[in-house]
Amino acid sequence: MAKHIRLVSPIRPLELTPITALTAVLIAVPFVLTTYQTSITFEILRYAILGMALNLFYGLLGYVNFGQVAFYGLGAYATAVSVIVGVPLFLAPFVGGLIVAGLAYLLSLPLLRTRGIYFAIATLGLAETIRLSFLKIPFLGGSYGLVLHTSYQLVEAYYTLLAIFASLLAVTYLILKSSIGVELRAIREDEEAAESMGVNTVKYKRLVFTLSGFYTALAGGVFAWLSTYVNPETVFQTLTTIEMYIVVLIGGAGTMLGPVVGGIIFYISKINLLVNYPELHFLMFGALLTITVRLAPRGIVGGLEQYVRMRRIAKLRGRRA
Amino acid sequence: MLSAELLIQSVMFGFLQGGLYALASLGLMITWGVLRLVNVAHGEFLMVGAYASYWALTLMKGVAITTQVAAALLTSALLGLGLALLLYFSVIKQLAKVEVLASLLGLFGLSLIMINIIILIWTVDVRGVVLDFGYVTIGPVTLIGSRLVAFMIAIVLVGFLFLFLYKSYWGSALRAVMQNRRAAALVGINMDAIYMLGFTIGIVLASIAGGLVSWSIAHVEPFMGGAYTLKSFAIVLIGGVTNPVGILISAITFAAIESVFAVLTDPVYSMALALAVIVSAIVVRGEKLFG
Repeated sequence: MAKHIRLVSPIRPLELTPITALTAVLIAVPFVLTTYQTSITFEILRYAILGMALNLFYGLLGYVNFGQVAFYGLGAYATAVSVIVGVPLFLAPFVGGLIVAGLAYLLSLPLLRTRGIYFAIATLGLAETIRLSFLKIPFLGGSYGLVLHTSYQLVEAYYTLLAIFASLLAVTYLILKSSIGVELRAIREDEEAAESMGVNTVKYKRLVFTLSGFYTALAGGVFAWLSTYVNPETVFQTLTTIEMYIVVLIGGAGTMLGPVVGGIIFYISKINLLVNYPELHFLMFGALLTITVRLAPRGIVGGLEQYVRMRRIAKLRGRRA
Repeated sequence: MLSAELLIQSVMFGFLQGGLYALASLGLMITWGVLRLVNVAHGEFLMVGAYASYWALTLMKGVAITTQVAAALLTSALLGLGLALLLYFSVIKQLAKVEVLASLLGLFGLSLIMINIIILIWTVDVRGVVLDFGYVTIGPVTLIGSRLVAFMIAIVLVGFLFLFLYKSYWGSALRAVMQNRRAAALVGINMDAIYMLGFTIGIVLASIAGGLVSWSIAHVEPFMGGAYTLKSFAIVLIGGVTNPVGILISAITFAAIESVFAVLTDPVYSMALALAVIVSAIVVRGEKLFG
């Protein structure tokens, strides 16, 4: 496998400046801003990570996992259990993430035999099955859930989440620049054609499914750490899956920065709707969802990229003429 | 423990419920088969139908019981019809043409909107009207009259649906589109009309099933839809998307098993059962599932 993976387009340091600047600003956040503002930034980061993790799978591969929240919930639970059995707090999300990555790989064996709409229904069904079983498993606390018995550690959790965010950005960047990205996009455009051209589709699908599960679980783990408890109704909501898709769709599926932009816009509008229209916010949420899907199929970053590309093509044409 | 009597009782209980499931699942079968639309809002249409019927029943207190039932049925059917046509032309017509994710998200958004409008009007309290049809005792089994009547109405409606599907031009056209849409278009079936017809029939069936639920099971709340959506999917997947007879059989079998399951264990497990059926049916049979 290793010898086939190579960079297909050069790494340009200039491209990385906005991200590096963003990360530097984010490092300063807990020192400069208030606790409340830091917690808002934490939430934005969490949504950005969930969006980016989903983007690896949905944006690059084009498969619709409608049970993505299962990774999130399993990650939160695996972290909670690790903390309870004595794993140090800052390590627990990573232990949880690895456990979920293993589970994701095992689940990918039967699930990735299906495609399209059937894959979507199967994953949705699986996530709901997991939620219902967690309501009833006694040693996981049933519907009451688990309590971590720690204090509210915003700054520590924030930096852990930031590290995860930075590494996920790097992973996405490398995938987009390498042959893996090309092969994933080939599968997205036409799986049969990609397969007949010699792309090992099964291998790549499993790889991104597992990777996407790993990062989603990390976000769930840090969330469990910060909220100090987990229960099925908070970490296994189908609505969370929908939120992840909104983040990706607003920003632009398949782009590197799309989910980051989507996470910022989504969380800020969500919190404003919640504060200003508490009874109506679900309704507006539903409307927002339907409108986004209808009006902006490429998302913000996707639309901008398209615009820049068209401009460049127009310029080239002009020069030739 | 499960005595023989309890077993028969719970199987019969499930059997009656199966009529309602059959109605809802046949509706789902048509929207899915004809429009290739994964209608995750199916249960919410059922829920809206249940509220419509509940509302009609509260207005008709004291009238003869048959009039009440007729009025409730008519209200939920008409509301379903109106809602279906409204949504078809505003949202569904476009959604059916876009990719999987967009239609899933759009329909999920729609279900959120429906749930929250209902909450604004009726709050989250559990509603329901119990119509007194007495009891029917056959040997060791006692059947609740209202559920028996609801079952019979459901079966009569299913009978009409079968007559329509197998004996009329439009019914045959619907089945043709379900089996092979390209071939159906080639032989000159008006696809736009079929899409509208299919969606409308599917939603009206769900809405009527909801109406029957409101006075037989008499448990109506804004969040009831999700369970019906999942169970309908399970039933359709076992029965086969292009096979109405299979769906009728699987609905009744599913309801009977679920009812026994619920007596033996926790109702939550019967939901988990439905979901396990969905996942394994898709994974094991894959795309062959749909002929």
